[in-house]
Amino acid sequence: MFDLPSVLIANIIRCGYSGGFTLRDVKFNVNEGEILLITGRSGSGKTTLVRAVTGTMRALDGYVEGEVYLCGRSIKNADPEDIYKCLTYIPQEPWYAIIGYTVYAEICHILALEGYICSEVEFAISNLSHLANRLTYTLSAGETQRVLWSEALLKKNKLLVLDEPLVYLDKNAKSYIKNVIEKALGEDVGILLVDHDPLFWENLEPQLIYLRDGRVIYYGKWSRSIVEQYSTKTSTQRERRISKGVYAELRNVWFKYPGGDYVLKNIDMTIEKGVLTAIVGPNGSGKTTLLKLASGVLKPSRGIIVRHGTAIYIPENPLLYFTMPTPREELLLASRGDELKMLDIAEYFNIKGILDQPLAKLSSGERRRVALASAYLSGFDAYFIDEPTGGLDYESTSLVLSVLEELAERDKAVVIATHDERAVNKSDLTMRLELKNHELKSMSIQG
Amino acid sequence: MGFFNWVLSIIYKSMFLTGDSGLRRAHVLSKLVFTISLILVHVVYSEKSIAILPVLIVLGIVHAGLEWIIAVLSLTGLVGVYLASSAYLLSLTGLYYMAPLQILTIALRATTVAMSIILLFNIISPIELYNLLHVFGARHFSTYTLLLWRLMPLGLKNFTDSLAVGYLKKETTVKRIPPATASIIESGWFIEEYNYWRLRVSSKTHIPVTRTIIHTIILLLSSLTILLIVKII
Repeated sequence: MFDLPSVLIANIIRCGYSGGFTLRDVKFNVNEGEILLITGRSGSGKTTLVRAVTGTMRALDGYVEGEVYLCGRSIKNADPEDIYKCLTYIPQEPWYAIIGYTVYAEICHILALEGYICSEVEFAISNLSHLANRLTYTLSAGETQRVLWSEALLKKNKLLVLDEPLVYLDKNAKSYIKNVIEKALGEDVGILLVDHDPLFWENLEPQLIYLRDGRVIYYGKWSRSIVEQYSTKTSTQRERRISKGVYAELRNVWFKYPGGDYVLKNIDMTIEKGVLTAIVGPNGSGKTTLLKLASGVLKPSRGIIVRHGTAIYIPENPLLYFTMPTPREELLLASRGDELKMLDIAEYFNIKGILDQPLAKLSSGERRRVALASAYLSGFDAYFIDEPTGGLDYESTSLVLSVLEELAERDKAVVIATHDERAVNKSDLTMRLELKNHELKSMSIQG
Repeated sequence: MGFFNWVLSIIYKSMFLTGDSGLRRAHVLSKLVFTISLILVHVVYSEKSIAILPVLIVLGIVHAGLEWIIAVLSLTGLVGVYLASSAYLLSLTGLYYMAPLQILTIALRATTVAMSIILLFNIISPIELYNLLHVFGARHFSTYTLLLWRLMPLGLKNFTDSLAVGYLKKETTVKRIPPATASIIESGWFIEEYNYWRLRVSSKTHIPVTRTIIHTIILLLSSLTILLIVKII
């Protein structure tokens, strides 16, 4: 056994999925109190690498050739108890990392696995007291991520693996998480972080791995020049578009989920054609609910919504959007069998290389692009998209944002719910949902 | 799509509207007494079982309020209407004649049985099951009780979201059911992946349960009431 301060040693010759994506020659260490940032384009292998080092590849019938040591134990034959005690993994799709049906059951189960009986104290120190009795399937993505963060802090493991940890978090939560990470590093926790936005972590000066097409193209110390070399930042200078008419009107709209309180109250809103509208606000403020209402996925509890034309809603979990099992079939369905048009769009969205892979096996970023490509091909009058740039690298973000702008320029109504400043900067109109004491208090419009 | 979504929504409300609140907080022994009483009523006094329906409705309101009881009555009423109309159609064929009162009794009895089952499901506390498995040494499986109650509503929610997206895509319900079902299976895969190690370790202690005396008393009194009703009538 290794007796090193490294909490993670990876010496991977090859890993991937049979007949699918392969990642090659990846070697790195994460020592106690050290942070390693993995970045790269969407589909470059970031999540595959996370699966390889967390030992979850076997759940997907994948393979890993080489060695991975967590807290000094080979992942191949370690006792699950040892790995669990060493590692906390917060995945990109946080809602799948929850086992408890209520926040109380979830947190108490984590503590029960550690041998502790939970009490109100843990909820108070985790700032989760107000969520304790909530059913977990009613939590927003941001709230789910907050619960997972609290668990990570309660578990006090030696290694934190975080896959796109900021995607669904509001500004305050992002700053809070950054402070938590700094504190964890001070307590000798090793951190493996996957993020499309390396510059956010610049002050921590993490070790850096850049991946491209399944290979490491840079591994070394933090270097701003390297980051800028491989990242194409999105331009924010442009002319503001003007409205080309009204797509929908929401008048005095109220909404509550079954068994819950009102999450939206007295919402008056006009959705304009020809502009890109961004809905922003803190976690749990009702952004997703507003998108679902405006698109017609949900019906208001009170109030009226009048729409003029067809609409589509793309959920934050794009898997719920798809009808067919592969991108090719999904896009062919959307193009009504026009293969040439389908291939053109696949090229435009940079998904030509993955057309025949099962959608469930694609990376989160790739799934988002396929969903958007399918919706684009279908030609709706209005597009309601939840976190369209969530977990996307700079290149994919630029692509997605340019598609959204193009849709707006073609007089479509485009409304997004987002925490991503890059997307907000591209919008023509920003609607901010404000929360006070966990109740929606106001909606302001800028633009 | 409308009717199908409505059915899904009332199933969802009937089964998963509440967390650990209402009668779920009653003591486990009172739940056992209530379960035995209900079984007795339906097995031994089945012909009089419809008389307990008002008690079950009041109990439902106490448990989770009007929204819940409306959903449950809609769902159980649907079962009752289905069985009664089947009986009526059978009666029309002349194979087995049934008087209108008999058909009404079938509807009410089916509603009562369905409501009893839903109420029993609702008073089960997954945390108590978790603790029970822990005590009996099946600690590894205790996690699965929590997971089951997490997966069922999550799957249903994903299913309805997927159906709603299909509706916007102008797809028929029949065409949308396979991908909507696939979304539930995929949820299972992701949960298996992201909790890979957590599902392979056992709990070392129990989870505290919050109990309320008032709900315990209500459940015991209800048990007594339904037994008295079927005895007296």
